[in-house]
Amino acid sequence: MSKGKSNEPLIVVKGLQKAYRTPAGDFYALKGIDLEIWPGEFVALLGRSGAGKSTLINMLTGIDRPTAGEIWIGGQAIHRMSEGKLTRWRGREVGVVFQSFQLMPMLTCAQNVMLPMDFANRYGTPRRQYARARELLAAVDIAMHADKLPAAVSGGQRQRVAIARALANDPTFLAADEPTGNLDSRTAEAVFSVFQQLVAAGKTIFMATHDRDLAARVSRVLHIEDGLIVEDTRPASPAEGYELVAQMEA
Amino acid sequence: MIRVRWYKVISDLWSHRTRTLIVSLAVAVGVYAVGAIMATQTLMLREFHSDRNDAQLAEAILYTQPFDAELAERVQEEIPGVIAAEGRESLRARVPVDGETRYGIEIVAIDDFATMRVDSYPFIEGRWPDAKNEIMLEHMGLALLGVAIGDTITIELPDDTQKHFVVTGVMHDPTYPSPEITGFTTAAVTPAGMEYLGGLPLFTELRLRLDDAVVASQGAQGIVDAVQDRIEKSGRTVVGRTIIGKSIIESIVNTAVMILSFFGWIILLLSAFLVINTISALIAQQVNQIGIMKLVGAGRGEMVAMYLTLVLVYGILAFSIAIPLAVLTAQYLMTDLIAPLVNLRPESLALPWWLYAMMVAIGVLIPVLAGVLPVWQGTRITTYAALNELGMQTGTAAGGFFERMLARLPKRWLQRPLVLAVRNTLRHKGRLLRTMIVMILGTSLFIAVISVRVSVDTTQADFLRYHQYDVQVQFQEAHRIARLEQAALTVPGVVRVEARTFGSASRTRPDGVESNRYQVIGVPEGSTMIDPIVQAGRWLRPDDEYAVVINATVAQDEPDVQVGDTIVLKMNDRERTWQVVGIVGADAQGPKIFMNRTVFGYENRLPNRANSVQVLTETHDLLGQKTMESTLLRHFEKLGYAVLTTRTTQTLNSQNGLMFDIIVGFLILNAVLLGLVGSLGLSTTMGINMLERIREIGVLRAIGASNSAIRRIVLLEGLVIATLSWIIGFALSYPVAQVMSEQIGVALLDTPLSFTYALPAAIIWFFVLLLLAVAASLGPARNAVRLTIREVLAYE
Repeated sequence: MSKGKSNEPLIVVKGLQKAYRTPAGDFYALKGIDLEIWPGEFVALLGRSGAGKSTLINMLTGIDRPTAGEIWIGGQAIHRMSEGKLTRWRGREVGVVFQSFQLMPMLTCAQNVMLPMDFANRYGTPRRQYARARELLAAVDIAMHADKLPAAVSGGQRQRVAIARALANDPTFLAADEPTGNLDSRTAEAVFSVFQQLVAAGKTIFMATHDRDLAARVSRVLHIEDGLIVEDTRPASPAEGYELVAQMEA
Repeated sequence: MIRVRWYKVISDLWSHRTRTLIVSLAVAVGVYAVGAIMATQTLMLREFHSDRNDAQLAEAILYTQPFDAELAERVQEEIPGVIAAEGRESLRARVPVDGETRYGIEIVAIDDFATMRVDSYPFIEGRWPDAKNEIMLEHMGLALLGVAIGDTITIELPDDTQKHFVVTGVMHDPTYPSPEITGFTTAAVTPAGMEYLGGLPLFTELRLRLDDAVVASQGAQGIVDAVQDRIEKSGRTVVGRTIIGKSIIESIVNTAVMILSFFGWIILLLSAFLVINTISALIAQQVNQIGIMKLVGAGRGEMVAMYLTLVLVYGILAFSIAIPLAVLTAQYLMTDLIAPLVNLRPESLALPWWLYAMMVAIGVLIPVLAGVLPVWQGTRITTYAALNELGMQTGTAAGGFFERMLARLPKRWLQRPLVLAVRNTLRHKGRLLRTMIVMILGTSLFIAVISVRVSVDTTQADFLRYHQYDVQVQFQEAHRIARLEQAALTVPGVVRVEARTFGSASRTRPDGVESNRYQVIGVPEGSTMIDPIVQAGRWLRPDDEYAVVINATVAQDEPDVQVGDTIVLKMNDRERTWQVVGIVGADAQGPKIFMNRTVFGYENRLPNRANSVQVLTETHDLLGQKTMESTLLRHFEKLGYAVLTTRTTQTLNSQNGLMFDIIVGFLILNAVLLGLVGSLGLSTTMGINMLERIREIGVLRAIGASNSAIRRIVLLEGLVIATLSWIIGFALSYPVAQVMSEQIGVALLDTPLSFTYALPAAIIWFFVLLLLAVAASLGPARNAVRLTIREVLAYE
């Protein structure tokens, strides 16, 4: 990814629409989103179930394709990429974290982290990739579980593995879809602090969440309703953030 | 350390050991079936041809007045197209092995054992005979007669004189199958030995090997004509000639090869369907993992390589299991079934390298080819669809024709679990179709194979319709019928007697060419001991004079002859025109022409005479018949009749049975393999269905479905698939069985088998399928109901 300069947005979304075919006709999950995200931002996307949060995350990560509109990330038009190119691009340039972790059950935590490196042919030999995977797992504080299967660790630990995997190829942009949705509040807090450290280290994070407390502590809050961004605010402090989030929810 | 993607492949193989085993077994069945079949076929054909090549078998025989070795040499030198010509003299005699049992023996005199070039019996052990009282036995005869090299055997001649011979060695005569089938063995002596037996030290048979190229250009008949002219120029009369066609051994081998080839490829096809199903299901189960790999940057090519590697390992496991088993099966069939029955002496049981290569290739290619499409399609799915497992929802819940029909049925007709079971069955139509093809073909071919097996029994029973008696005694010469019958009737236990006359005739064809000699049977007018199966025209009437009925084997040899035609038969050196009034089924005892006994006697200058009696006794079992056979033999010999042969219909039946043994053995082998593939098909489909629907089961349980209700749905689904497959397979099985029965009959006997449909087998197979369906469904169903709802809903 061409690292966006601070005076240029990392992500530019123009007129983004996404329609799903249903027996009752086309259903528009996104109805025309315009958005710019700048490098180093920690963006929270708030909204009710079905508002379009996951759809927008899927569009920004190239997991799904828009019906209309443009998505530019790091200067690349991902709306024009083929499925194969998108996959390659995502593997190298984007880290994605899901509520349901999406780990490979038969691979150990370290091997899950190694998988993106393997497919991207990065970081040399499997031995070097393993060393890097351990470093990343140490960074999210679960190096001691590196050689265990995901089924042998807790939900919070699995999410940390998923975050370590998202960082495997050192992307500047991380997308997280309800990353704390399956976690208790203490674990959610721990995962959130990992995100904060990553932002502090220069990563850009786009996080869809239901959690008002977490959303209030990010640098920018977007509120989506019926497929449209209805509010876009940058709280100056957590206190202001709480207030803004409370207003959005109201 | 290997790349992490390969850990996934290894882990997929290891952590799903049952699946790995099932897929590998499915492939292994295909490799085994084709491997065993091709290996058996290769061994059988190679050893059969090498056996016959070593023996340099005669292609034509001329029967003439006595001649010496010099005439044979002249023929070989002078007649183009004759590669080798040698004189032989042969006679039939008996060897008593104990008080009761006597075996037939064909003794052939050979001038020079060292230079045999026609029918040259390959030497096995000991030494060739040198003195007049020395004899060389066929290797199977050694066991039949229970003697060893160095032992003395007694030869009992037709005139009851006995001669003693020392067995000097063992040779091989591949002309005849096992003595258990023919009822006799062969032996070789010197011309002096033949003289010692009462024959001439000269020859009456000129055996020829012909040049293939000359046969191809001018036909064997032309060469034999030239040889006949040459013999007649020497002042001798040719009394008969035979161009040797397909032997019974060749028929057995060819039929076996035909069966093996057909079923080999069918089983391979079925196992390929099975593998496609299993791999499609495997890919369907892996959709989420495909999504995760795409999420972290896996390209389609990389994933295809991973899955094809997985599939390749299945293939490697499969051929590792299948190749040794296939080789052992082929070798076992060769040494324990084929060789002893067709009298083959395999030189080697080694299989050619290409056969191993073929099995490896099939083992690798079946799963890879079967896997390419599902893998290619499975990895085409978008990341979004894969992560949300939308790829699993390929079936239609309510939109299809069958589903709509099902919805229209009155609710009282179908209970809820049955509706669910039928719906689930119809959900993955592609897979259902492939599974059903396996089961339908398996069902129809299984029933067909068993039907052919039953038809073989019926055919054997039909053969006996030409032999509606218990014991037959053939005499060296014809005797007055009244005396023969009277003599037989004085034996206690004899119920009825019928005298028949046996002779031979050749047909002089419209182009003047003389056919091989056919057996002619003079049947008493109004005989009750023959119940012919009339295929065309009618059977003989008591008032028929110059009328004949030919059997299907003659009709095969003389394709221009139809019912109502007149044919010229040369009998007793006289040509006479006869009308063909009917064609009857064959009895596996060669070509036969039937005519009324009176006209036979008149034409052969044997009025009121016959050379055999057929005796009906009080008991018809083997022991009773055997006892009567020896009683009659002693009785007639005491009265001064020279007995040529005796036989019982039970022996005849078991000899015919032996001829079918190889074919039946192969049919059963194929039935077992088909059953195995069919069972595996059902088991894997049911197992995979359950794995795919574990979530669905969780939902059903979450809304209150009891374990027994879930078990019922799952079991019903298996039963629905099994029943549907059986119905279609059953419908197809009748025509398939009919065609197979006809083809095998024609290949083996030149006439279709007496077709009998094996309805009990069809019914039994239905219950076997139901049982398999229950067994295959129970395991996964039990596993599914054991899981807690939370586990089921979280199942990955």
